[in-house]
Amino acid sequence: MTTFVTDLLPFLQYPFMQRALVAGLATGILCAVIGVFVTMRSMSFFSDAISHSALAGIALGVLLGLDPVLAAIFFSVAVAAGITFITVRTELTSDTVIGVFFSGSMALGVLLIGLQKGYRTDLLSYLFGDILAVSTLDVALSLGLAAVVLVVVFARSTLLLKIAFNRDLASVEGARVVVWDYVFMILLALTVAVSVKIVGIVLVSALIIVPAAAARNIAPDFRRLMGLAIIFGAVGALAGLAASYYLDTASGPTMVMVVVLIFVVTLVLRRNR
Amino acid sequence: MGSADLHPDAVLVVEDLTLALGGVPIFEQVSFAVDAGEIAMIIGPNGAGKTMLMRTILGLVPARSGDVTIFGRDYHDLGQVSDRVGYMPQHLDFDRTFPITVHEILLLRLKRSGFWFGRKGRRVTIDDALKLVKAESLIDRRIGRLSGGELQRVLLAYALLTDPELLFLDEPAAGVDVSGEETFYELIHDLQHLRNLTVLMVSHDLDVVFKYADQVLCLNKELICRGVPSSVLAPEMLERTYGPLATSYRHDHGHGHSHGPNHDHGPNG
Repeated sequence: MTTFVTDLLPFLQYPFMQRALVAGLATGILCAVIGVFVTMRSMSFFSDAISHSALAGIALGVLLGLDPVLAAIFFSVAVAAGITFITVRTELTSDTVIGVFFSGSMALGVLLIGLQKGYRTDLLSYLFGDILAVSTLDVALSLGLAAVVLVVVFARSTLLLKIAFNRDLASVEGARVVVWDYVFMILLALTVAVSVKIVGIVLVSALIIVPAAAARNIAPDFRRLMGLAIIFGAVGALAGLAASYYLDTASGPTMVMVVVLIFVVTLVLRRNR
Repeated sequence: MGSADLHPDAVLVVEDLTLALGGVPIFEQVSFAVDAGEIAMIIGPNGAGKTMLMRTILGLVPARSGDVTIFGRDYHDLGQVSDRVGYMPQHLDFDRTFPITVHEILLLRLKRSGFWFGRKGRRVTIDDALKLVKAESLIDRRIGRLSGGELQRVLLAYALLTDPELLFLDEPAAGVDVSGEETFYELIHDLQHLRNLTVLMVSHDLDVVFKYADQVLCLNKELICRGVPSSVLAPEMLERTYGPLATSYRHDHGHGHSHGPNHDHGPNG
């Protein structure tokens, strides 16, 4: 069996590719599922800001000697909470507030990287993803976080969908919409954290948004939209990693190019609606 | 003495409810009670605070002061009796391009709906609710593609899905054509008698109010009057509610004509 698989997909004989494939698949599926809700809530720009803010978190983690991924989670959650809090409390529109946080946290990230002694290639690997940098611990962390997020999302999917559809109806029916706003932000921040090693900070939001957008082109209803987004995310991860091995390209951009290709195909297939 | 003691048959009790937004008073010291099986209608000019009153009662806007009791419970616990309450908003804000079908939206209203993998019996419940509003053919349509009238019917089916005892309707027939409007109110009227349904409704159509309301609440920043339509819809009361403009309004029921000092279909405040 093993020889059959490695004959068919020879790159799988390398342990680092096996790890990358497992983590990549978890990432692809997780991003697609979260992406369905992100696009439905029109939070694409928000998710972009959250993923970019992970850079400052990672840099901070390295500087303080903490685990970079954990530091990224905390920093992303803080940024997400900050954006929501300020949007609610001021007259500013959310895209303005997101813009401030987006650029602010990017600047902070670059500044903090500059404070590191010497040239830190491992920090740069977070920007575009690096399959060689995926350790067994990373795989375990990815799978664990992905499992947590997916369980929460599917256990509460109808609630999340109802809130995304109409907040007033959800609220009258007893949903604590503000609490779930914060829960959703945390889930989004966790998704970004799981994905940065594989896809990289710059392109995480593409992996979140594009599979859902592609599914939206052709799905007739919500359930099939979710199913298609998951398939597109998984295919994007697997085909992207395989292609990056053969083409010797960075894993993140290759995965994103595959899902963008899927998006273009669905755009053409799009029924005349 | 608690509100429940004062209104033993009341399903909904509102006491001294006051709302201000950004320091601007929207309505003040509104008190009324709606008994089980009663249809109460809120009337008033644009900007009188009708929609805001309903939203405050539903806990969607935090009141400055006052109390609301629904089924004997404080309204902050509305979620615990959510199956006994139906709500139909005036405008439904949602992304019309998103692929969700009528069937899926209605599934969201049901507990343990088997949303992802289907569940026998749920389709039947949903079919029944849609039949009630004569919208069964819309079940597999995408909600963003419905016309105004179709969407209103689906929203009513959504509000009725859990067999609620109390229904909140905010300008329910806005965007529905005249014949659809008639059918709509006949249905509410039938449900009132069949299920002893209690209804609180915002309306701008005084004909509808005269025909179907058991209790009329005239709102213009405060509760100007409340009572049965024949006493409340008298010219002097309407003038107090709508202002001097209403003096040209001559009340002459039985001729089936359409009237009302505030007969536009624009958004009401």
